[in-house]
Amino acid sequence: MAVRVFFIILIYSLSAQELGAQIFTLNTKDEQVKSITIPDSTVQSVRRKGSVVEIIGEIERNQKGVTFLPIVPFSPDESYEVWNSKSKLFEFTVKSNLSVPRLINVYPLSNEVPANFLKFYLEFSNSMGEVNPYEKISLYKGNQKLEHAILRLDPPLWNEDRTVLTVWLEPGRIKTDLGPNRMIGSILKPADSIEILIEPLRGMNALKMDSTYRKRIVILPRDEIKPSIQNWKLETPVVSSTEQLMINTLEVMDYGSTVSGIKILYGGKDFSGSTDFVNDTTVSFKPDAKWKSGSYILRVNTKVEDLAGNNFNRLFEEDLHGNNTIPEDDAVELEFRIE
Amino acid sequence: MKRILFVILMLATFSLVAKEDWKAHFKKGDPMVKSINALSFGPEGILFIGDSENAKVFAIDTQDTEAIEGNNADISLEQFDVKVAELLGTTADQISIEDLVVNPISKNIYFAVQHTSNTPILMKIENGVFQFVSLKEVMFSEALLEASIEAEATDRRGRSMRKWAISDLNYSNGKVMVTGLSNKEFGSTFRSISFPFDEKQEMSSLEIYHAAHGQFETNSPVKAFTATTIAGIEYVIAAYTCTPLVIFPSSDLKPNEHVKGRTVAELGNWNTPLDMVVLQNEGSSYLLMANSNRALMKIALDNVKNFSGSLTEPVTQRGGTAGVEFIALPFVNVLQLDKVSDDTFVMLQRKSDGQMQLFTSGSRWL
Repeated sequence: MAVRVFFIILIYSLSAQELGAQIFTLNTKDEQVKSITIPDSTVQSVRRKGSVVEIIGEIERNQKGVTFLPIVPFSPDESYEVWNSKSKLFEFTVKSNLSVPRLINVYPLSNEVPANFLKFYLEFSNSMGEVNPYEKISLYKGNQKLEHAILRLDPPLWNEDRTVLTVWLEPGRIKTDLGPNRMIGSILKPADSIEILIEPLRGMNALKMDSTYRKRIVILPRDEIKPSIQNWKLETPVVSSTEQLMINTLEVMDYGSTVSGIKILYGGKDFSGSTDFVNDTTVSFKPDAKWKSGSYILRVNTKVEDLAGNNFNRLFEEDLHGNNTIPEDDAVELEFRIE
Repeated sequence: MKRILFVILMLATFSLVAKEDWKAHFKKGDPMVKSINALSFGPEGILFIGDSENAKVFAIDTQDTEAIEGNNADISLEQFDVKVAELLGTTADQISIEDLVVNPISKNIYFAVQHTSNTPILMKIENGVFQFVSLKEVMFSEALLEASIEAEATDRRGRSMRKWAISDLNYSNGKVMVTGLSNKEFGSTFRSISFPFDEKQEMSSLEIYHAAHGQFETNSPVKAFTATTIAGIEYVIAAYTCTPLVIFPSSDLKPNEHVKGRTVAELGNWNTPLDMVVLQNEGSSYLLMANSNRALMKIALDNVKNFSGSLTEPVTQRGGTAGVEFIALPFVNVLQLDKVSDDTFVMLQRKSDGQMQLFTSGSRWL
């Protein structure tokens, strides 16, 4: 049997290709090619081009032909072969105009961090699929790569829709007197200028970022003071509006814990809305309903951290010889009124 | 004679009462698993799956409950990740092996694969042959991990930042124990869920702190742990992301408790523990621990038992270790580890030439 070769352009929805009497359809969902339907009942298997191994998946047969559903989606720019029991029937290549993932933000947005800086966040335009993302992230001082600087966690710490990745600096080098801290010292030293380098990561649609990202940070002295809500200032909105409440923390706060650790209470009940990290020291709260006149409470989870991992109850490192009582409150609160 | 009959009758009655129906609350269907981050086998071929995306633990009836003569004995599979990727129609750089466990009955090796498409994949190896394990039509039950966590505000895109990534999961004596890392706060929560799961689910959670050399106390995430019995008491042995090995009695697992683990060893610098198992040989028990930057470590549990203190002095030697003694076995870059029998283990190792190999080893190293 002659080998028939198909080259296809994949757009977002169903795409049918025709060559002579032969039509096949690539079925896509969420920017992923989930299956192929071929009107040929003799189809037995699909392989990556050049491989002798049959791809595992389900084969559904009906009057329209055969639909093959691989366990994982077909990849953009990969070529595959369709086989019957004896020979190759045809090849197809998945070409795409899917969106290439981009790095949108690195939190903190600020370029200044304390010497005991604990973690940062990468926000992407797309849901990401990179299986070992921490291998693509490194710190440089001049031309020298800082070894043992990034903690390689498995599983990686993605948020729910895999658009935000949490990156920890190696805690063993931050914690006083732990082996790595004693032997090779802190990762960051005051007045250092450090470059965070992020090599292209792969999106869930299998495409990679098209460039390496760099962010320069300058290192400040260590932060060994717990955040205090008494230092926070509020810009209150107008009554009967849905304007944002602006919360100024004065101190640069940790993005992940802050954006989800803030609530507004009205009459003792949750006043629903969404929080946003406007900048490192400003968080906005946009209510779902109009503000009513009266007294509100800004409630902040005590696990909200600053850049050094100090939270409202505990310093990142509590000195047990200091005889300090460590509070165990769930939240700290600030009352405000809207008239 | 009557007395003997009475005793037999009592024993029979007791065994009927005592026999747990592990699958009583199981239902048939698709559990809709979204991710497979950790695996552990329980009784009667029940496979526990830790699913971070769903914030759930699933108990799956694999119906894999028959012993298979000589199954996977002396297995050695080279190019492991390449072979798995070929079967999935992808490349090795687009997958990672999340966890690997041995069914204690059949000795089939089950493992979870993560692909860039975020598709959860469960596979097994029977007599050295790879098989896909479908989860579409199975008997299962589930426990929600986040039930006690109140809803949080979302950002402008409606996203919740909270994510609790399961780092390890083990079943022991009617309890499923799970540890995970938060993507927001620096710390870890240890959860213990009674099994079989039911609507009146008993779940305790605790936070673990460790004190570095008796002075600075920090919250710290647990990366790997195992449960074992020492001198008749069940303990959890846990390893933090930043090296120290701690131990605490399972009885400390009470709701809303803050527990300080007793640090029994600091096992070297810039090293993250990956996996651990307990094996037996000639009447002694040994903990084997795989590490990111160090060789496979062997620690005699007798030494852990006899080390009654907690580390108080800093380790002064570069790359040094302290506390209970360990022996470094000649296996580096061991990524996954599980027990096959009392004195045999299977491991997935990244070799010096870069290829990934699955093979068994045994008592000669214990």
